[in-house]
Amino acid sequence: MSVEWDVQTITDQLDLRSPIISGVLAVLAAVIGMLLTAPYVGLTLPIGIAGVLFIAAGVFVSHSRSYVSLGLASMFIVLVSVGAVGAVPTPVLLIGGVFTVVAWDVGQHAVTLGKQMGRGPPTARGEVIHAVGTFMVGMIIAAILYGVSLVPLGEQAVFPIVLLLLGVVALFWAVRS
Amino acid sequence: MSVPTPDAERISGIYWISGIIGIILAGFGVAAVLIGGILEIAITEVFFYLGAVIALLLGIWRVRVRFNQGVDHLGLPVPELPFSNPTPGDDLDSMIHAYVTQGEQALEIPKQVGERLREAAIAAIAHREDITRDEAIDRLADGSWTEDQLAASYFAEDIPIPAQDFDVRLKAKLGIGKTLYEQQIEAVVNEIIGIAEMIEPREADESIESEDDEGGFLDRLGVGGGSGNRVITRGETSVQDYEDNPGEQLTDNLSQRPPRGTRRWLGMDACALLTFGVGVAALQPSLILLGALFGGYSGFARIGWTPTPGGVSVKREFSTRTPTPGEHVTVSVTVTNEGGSLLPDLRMIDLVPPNMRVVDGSPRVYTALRPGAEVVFQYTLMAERGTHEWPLLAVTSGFSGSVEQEFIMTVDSTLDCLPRLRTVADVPVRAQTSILEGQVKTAEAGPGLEFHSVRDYEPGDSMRRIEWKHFARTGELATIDFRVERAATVVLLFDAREDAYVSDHPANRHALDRSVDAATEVYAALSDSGDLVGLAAFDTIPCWLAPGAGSGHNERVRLLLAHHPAIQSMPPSMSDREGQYIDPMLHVRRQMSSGTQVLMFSPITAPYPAEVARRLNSAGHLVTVISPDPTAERTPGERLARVERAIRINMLRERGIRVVDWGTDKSLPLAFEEAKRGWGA
Repeated sequence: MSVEWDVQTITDQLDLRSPIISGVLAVLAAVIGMLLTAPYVGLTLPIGIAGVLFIAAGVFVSHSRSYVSLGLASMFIVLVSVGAVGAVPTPVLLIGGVFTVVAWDVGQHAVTLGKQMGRGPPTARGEVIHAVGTFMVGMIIAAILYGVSLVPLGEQAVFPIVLLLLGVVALFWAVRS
Repeated sequence: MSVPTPDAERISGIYWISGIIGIILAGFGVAAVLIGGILEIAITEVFFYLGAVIALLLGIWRVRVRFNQGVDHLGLPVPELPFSNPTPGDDLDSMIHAYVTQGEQALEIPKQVGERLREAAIAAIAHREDITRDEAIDRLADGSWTEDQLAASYFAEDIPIPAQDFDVRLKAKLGIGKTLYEQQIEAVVNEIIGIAEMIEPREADESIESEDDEGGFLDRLGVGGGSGNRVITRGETSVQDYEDNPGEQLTDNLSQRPPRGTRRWLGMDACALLTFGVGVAALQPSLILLGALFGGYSGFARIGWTPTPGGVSVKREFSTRTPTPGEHVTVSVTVTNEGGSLLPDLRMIDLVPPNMRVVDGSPRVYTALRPGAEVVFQYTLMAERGTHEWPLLAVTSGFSGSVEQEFIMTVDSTLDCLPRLRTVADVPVRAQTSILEGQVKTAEAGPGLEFHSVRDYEPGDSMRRIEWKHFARTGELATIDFRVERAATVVLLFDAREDAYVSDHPANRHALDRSVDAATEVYAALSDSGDLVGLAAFDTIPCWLAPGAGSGHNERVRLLLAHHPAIQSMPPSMSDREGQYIDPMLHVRRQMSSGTQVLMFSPITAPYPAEVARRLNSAGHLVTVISPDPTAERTPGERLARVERAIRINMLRERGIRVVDWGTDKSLPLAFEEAKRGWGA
């Protein structure tokens, strides 16, 4: 008389995997971030590729945050390594940093959305807006930083300014909690 | 906000230190910018390296914090999942599981389990061998009831437990196989089943055997995320939880729960500090800028802004407002942002009551809404009887997603689902009737359709009933008598106790829902044939509708089946109905006139309903039990529950009570046909 409810119907309805758009955006951002920085130093290229693979595994295979965070860790090592040897122009490093953060954030967002919403409901609009939001915030911060670093304040100017910035961030962090 | 713990105090201490360091660093930064020429470069360098070391140490500490705390997003409810009904026997399985996993701490358990096995075994042996209860107890005690030594040793003290194979013992020791106790119980259950000859003893299907004491449906399915991550809260209690505890009321139709940090950006500060430390140590300005970028992101995440969806209006529309149970209803939800503020991150879940199933589409949406924009989502649900109103859950957060807040919106829309009374089955009633005419053939002679006898003519007999052939032959008048057809007075009695909210699979409809379905058919069939039908239920809430007939009565029955709290489709534990225990013998029997039959709907998973049927029957109300079968045979406990129910049905039948055993795979008319064959009627 009435439709019987079976296990198959439930699992079809409830696809708790990470949504595809965020996953694709995260991997795309990771690839761009990696290509911008890793090739400058040959040794970091495999680490960068590993980072991209970790993020891809996190959003498409295991749907877990740990993989996405491993991806960030790998790409972070790449950024710091190429930055430490001074192989990359500052703007490229900053933009690479933005893409790395976007890859991590959007990847995490994909995992969260997968657990909270799943692949069933419409999520595209929210996903794109979130990714664009994170990207824009990063680009604005990067632009301000780069602009400030160009202001001629003498030879050692960058250090005090960054000290200042970092002090402000630490203060902000302490006050808010 | 939260209760301070030693850990929290330690962390707040670290925040103080970091605040002080921040002030010092900022101070030196300002000093260096303003009066750079005055400070000696050497002194600045000392501070640089000191800063680098501190930054690296703090960074390492933040990495550790990130590892320890992890991200904490809200586990949102899953309205798609129906609540998982227990299966009869699950309680026994969970007791055994608790005993096996907790060991000595649960000494009460083997006693209870043993008692239950013993009762079932005695009943089965006594029934099979046709011996008294005492004799059955003796056979248990000396072990002669079974040939299986492992099972026999469970009840008999002088029978040793048979030696086990080495690999079985090894597995049990390692905790990967079944312990001796579990094996023994399985052996006993299988032997009882063998004796009762009701179901073939067979090996449990390991793949679906419930291993956890929760018996959770999701756990059995294996849905719900990988290990180490938060598993989504099952829909079972969550949806209810939001209705019970909506949080702080903001406006008439909006209430909020406190905002929650997700710790989602935890780790960005570690990146900032480490990058900065390395950058200073390596004297790389670009790396320091990168550290500042990470720091900027970290600060961005600190903006714990969550927009309030105060100006959001929700409209919910149904394809039909008055469906019948089982009908598919398409629900369309339109959400419009009529407020002035942007909602950059809006997750919405329509909190469909757990007794209705979402069969198509998804009751969720994730979007961003600028002022004036709207979003529409659609899904199809399967209606269940009752009046339903449900809220919408909205989770908002800012761009960064570092803080989430839940809002519960009440939506002004009602779905009213009434059962349709219709006949498919021919319902066999018993030969106990009222004085009204109906369709139950009695042994009484009089007007009717079916031939009864021929007797001498008495003045006043209808001309139509005169046997003219007899008159032609003999010249004397004779009258044909037919079997008088009378109407039965029937009360449909529901077993609506918590025990009736069981089904053979957690996702299937429970016995009471199936009972009410059956009752709509039975009622229609009976009222079509002119019987007087009433309704009653025994549970904590009195439910009684006196037998009657006619269209007004039909409508009352429909409304009662749909709305009466005693027989609602949500289990008593999930609804807020309250009441006290009602003795069906007092409550129902007093109101039934003599000569009223009882059609009782009960899964008979407990001794009590069987007892009620027996007592009503011996009080002079002929009882027919229509029993939806909710038992399964996946685990030893479920198999035992199945045997117990079969034994109970047999005992009822022996006492002359008709029982229609209605399996899940059978239609109701088929179950009636099978039962009729058994009655020889």
